Amino acid sequence: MPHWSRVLAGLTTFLLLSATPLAAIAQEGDGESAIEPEALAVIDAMAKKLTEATTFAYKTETSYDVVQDSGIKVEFGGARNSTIQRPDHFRLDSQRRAGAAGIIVFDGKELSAFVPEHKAYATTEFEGDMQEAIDYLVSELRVKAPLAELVSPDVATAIRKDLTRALHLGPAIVAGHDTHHLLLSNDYADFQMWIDEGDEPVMRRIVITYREERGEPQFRAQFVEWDFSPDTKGLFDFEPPEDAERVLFYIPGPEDALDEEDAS
Amino acid sequence: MKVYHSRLVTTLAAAFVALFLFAQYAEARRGGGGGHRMSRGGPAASGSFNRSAARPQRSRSSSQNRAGTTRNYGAGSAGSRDLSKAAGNRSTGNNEQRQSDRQDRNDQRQSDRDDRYDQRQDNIQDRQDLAKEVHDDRQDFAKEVHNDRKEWYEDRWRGGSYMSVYAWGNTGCAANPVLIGADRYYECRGVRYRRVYRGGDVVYVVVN
Repeated sequence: MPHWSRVLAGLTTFLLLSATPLAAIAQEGDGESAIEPEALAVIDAMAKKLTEATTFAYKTETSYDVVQDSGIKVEFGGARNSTIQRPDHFRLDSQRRAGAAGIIVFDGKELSAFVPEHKAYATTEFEGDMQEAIDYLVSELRVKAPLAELVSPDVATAIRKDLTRALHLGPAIVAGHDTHHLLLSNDYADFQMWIDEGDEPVMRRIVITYREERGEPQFRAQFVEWDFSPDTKGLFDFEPPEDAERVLFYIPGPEDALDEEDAS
Repeated sequence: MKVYHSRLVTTLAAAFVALFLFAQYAEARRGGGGGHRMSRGGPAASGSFNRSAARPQRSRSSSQNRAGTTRNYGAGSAGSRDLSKAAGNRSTGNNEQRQSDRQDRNDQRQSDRDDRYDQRQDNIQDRQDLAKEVHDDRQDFAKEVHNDRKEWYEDRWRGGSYMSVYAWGNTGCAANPVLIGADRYYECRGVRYRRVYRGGDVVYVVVN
């Protein structure tokens, strides 16, 4: 009988000791799927800053994984300068690591793309606001427009849409800037964002993991510079050089695989 | 023996040329590349937050939408025709009266025939007008579609095989354009190409 008593006492002690970490794990599990107000507040502050800005520019260094048929992930990337003038002007200057530089300009009436190295440009009439022009670029002309959500007329909604998780992971220093480190998810991807603390809450870094895609490839962007009073004189007036050839926009046929397209 | 060697050399040369041309064709078909051929795109290249932008579905833009033309052809005007006849006073009192009545009936029948003839003519004209209207509408619509297509293709090229600028450089073909009208074409070993803007770069797309 004393033997059974000792066994019972041991079991009770074990259960009591293990209860605390189990509870902590359960709490952590809940936390991982939570929407934290602190995280949303940081997003909203950045969204307010970007939505209220009529003209702004930013420079990014971007990279992304491409999962090959073999399963190997290969990184590509480049640098990009984006200049935005709401509601219907933008200019994107990009330089790929392994490829040509490119310029895309929208002046509210015409959408033009220029590849200086090959002295070729394509242009088409398009009337609409910036969001419509970007949608057209992406869906019809199949040109990549990374982080287009940041120039949306409603940045907060564009980012917060369909979120299933929004966590504030704490402070972090990125490229010398004090930032908030956030972890967000929707049903397709996970995002880590580093957004500056202080009066100018701009994005400093973002990593998107495409969780639902094969090999879970990532897109990464480091924001090198933000400018909220850029000189835009003549920036949106696209004048091709005299010796440049006007070419057509290539619209992929149904047989073209999207994955084969180069990113700009 | 000499003839045999000569034939062998000719056959080998022909096979070499055929293989070279086939390789060039295959390069054009698969889009050409540079260095190691590998995929350079994919969902992560989009840098988008949502699936819809990472894997976009093609949609015609608003500028391409043609306003629907609503035509109400109606039923055509049948016109109203009073076929009632005034009831005749059929007095059979005397021959003169009968004669008069006969004459009246003849007049009435003639008048009815004339009316029916006129009505048939009206109906034929109505049908002809309607047919012409339908025909004109169809022509307008076809012209509209044609113009839209023409306009659409003025600055776009749909699908097809292409090769990169790098691959073009490896063909050894000159990049001297041949002007046909206002369009520039590039020729390489009997294949005609156009330069197009594809996803941020220039490629040579096969025209024929």
